[in-house]
Amino acid sequence: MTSQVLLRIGFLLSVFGGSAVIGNRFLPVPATDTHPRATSATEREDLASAADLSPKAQDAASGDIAKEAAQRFAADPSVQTGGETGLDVPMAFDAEQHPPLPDETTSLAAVLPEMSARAAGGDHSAACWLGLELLRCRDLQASRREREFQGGVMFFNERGAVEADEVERLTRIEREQMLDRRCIAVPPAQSERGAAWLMQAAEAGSVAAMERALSIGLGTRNLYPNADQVRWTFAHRDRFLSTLLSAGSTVAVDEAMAEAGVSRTLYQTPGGIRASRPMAHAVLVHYLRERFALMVAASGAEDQRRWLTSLEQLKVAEIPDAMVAEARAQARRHQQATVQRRAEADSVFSRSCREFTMSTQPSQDFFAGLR
Amino acid sequence: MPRVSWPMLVATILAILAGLWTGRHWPFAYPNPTAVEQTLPSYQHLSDAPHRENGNLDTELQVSRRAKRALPIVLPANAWQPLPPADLPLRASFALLKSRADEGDAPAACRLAAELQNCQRVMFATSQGQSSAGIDDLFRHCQGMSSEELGLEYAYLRQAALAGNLAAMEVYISGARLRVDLRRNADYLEVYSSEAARLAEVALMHGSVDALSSITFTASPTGGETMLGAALGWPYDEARWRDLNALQGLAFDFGDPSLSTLEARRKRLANYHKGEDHRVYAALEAKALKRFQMWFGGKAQNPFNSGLIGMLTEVGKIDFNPRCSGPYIADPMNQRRLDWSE
Repeated sequence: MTSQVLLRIGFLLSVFGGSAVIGNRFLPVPATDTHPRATSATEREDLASAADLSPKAQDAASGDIAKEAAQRFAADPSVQTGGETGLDVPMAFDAEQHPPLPDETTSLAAVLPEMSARAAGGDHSAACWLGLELLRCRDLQASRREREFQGGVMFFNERGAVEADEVERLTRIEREQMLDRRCIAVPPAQSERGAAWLMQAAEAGSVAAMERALSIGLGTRNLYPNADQVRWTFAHRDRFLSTLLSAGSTVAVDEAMAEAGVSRTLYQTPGGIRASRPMAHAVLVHYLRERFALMVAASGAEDQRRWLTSLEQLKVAEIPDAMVAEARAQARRHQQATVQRRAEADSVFSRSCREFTMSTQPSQDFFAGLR
Repeated sequence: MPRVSWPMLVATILAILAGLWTGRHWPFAYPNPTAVEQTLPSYQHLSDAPHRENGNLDTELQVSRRAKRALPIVLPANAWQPLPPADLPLRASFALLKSRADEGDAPAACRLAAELQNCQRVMFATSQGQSSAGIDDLFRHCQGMSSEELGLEYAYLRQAALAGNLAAMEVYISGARLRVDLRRNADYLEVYSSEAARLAEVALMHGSVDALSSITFTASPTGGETMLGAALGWPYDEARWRDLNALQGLAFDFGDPSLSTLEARRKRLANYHKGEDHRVYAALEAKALKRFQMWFGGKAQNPFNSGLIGMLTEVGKIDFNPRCSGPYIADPMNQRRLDWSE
């Protein structure tokens, strides 16, 4: 709290007098995974099977909302067939094809021709990598001015010491500067094309590409949103959401939680909550029933608390204490595995772009659970 | 040589023309945003992607994108009707307000936008478990409204802003109401970028502290984060940022009695710039004083007391009628441009 106040005061001072600009110090940064989750199908199955899927828990979660959603999805031809949006999306990606991808030390400009050729030739991981990396370049280019300003300011607490959150802030800035250096010589027009690659990869079933589209969208914080890209994102949102939930994506769970919150916001009545968006609500019920352990397990300690608080607030299912305990135990094991994986010299996107669902159609198993 | 069925040909042409008229299926209306080369996928039909499941509100309301982008009708001020009492539940006043607003009654559009926005906030607060006498009162005030109706807020906010209501302009230019529901408001993205930039300047010239705050932040090194900042796309100009900050220092009293006099605010501003070259600071202050007189009439204001509706703590006793009844700036989109060299 104190540091927040000081930070604000420091910012005001810098705004009005520039006297808080202390220096330009940066710390070394380890690579971090921005999308923590189970990264292989085997791992997901292990985690899910370890959950307490007791009949009581399953019964508690079933209801009219879930059935209604299942019927709607069964009757919705767009969900069953996919790809009816008119987008020219090649479906010729080979799920087994994922040769090594460049790591985070590689200059993008140096590998763009090769990666573009690979993606155009059906390498889904290359298309995903291009989409994520080029969009990241666009983000970094757009925020360069802000980063230079923020990196030149340092804040101290009342004792004159630098607190942990300040170190974290400067560490993040240094990492962004390192990533930005990789974008040198990438023309802005190329960065813009990242959206097209990402859309292609997401439409074809790339998990990482769908997650980016679902959670952040195709836009950049400092750039004006492109209306067509916004429309594309929302036109695909529900399909990506259900597909990613089937694939065990915690990013999707986060989004589903938010959707359910919106539903409650708009449709709460004196008689209680009446979900008008049964899809979001139903997938949550289903997810809580069958995949709760995975969801919690794939989160860090802080996220776990958030999940559990959200679940309590939503009150969509009673979660048995045993299931919560098992989920926490799973979470600890998962965290250890994650730390080990992070130690590998592998880039975030190189790893996440290998995940591919073959199809953006929801799995039969997933919707069978709703019927 | 295949035979041509004339009735079929005529029907096809009519169907194409109908598609063009609605603006929904014109295949070339929206250029490919990424200008892809031959190795990239084509997204010519991007804008035609249907909004499934939850995106069918527009279809239900039969509102085309073209209609959304069109400038709203504005009746002359002498044709505006008195607003209904503030304590009338929205369900009871909605049809009347909507009917009047759709005919071009700007205060009705303003009141409707404020009511709908406020109801969204109250619904959200209630769903988060917040409760107080004021919130509960407002929850009853908003009872019976559907999400489709609540979602009409942005269209009426824009109408009121373009009609020149200063409070509505302040909310509109921030872009916050556009961003809060991009799914529903995506069709307004194109018009916002040009309209908000224009309205922001006009509002500033008419003494809006809210516009000054928004524009000052936009001019800062981190200013691109807001919708207005992204729309303006200003390159960073340290001199402009300093100028606007100095103006804020003179124009904002934050409701603090110790800052009620101009001398007190000048002293505070000088303190911020302590150590600077005297002549440089004198020029900075002179420009700020001139703008303070020119745009704000020399009257300081509290930046926390602007916009169409206030803080949530005020709910329960909000009367939108005074702010929606005036003041209005005549034809704000065609006012003279702001000369930043002044």
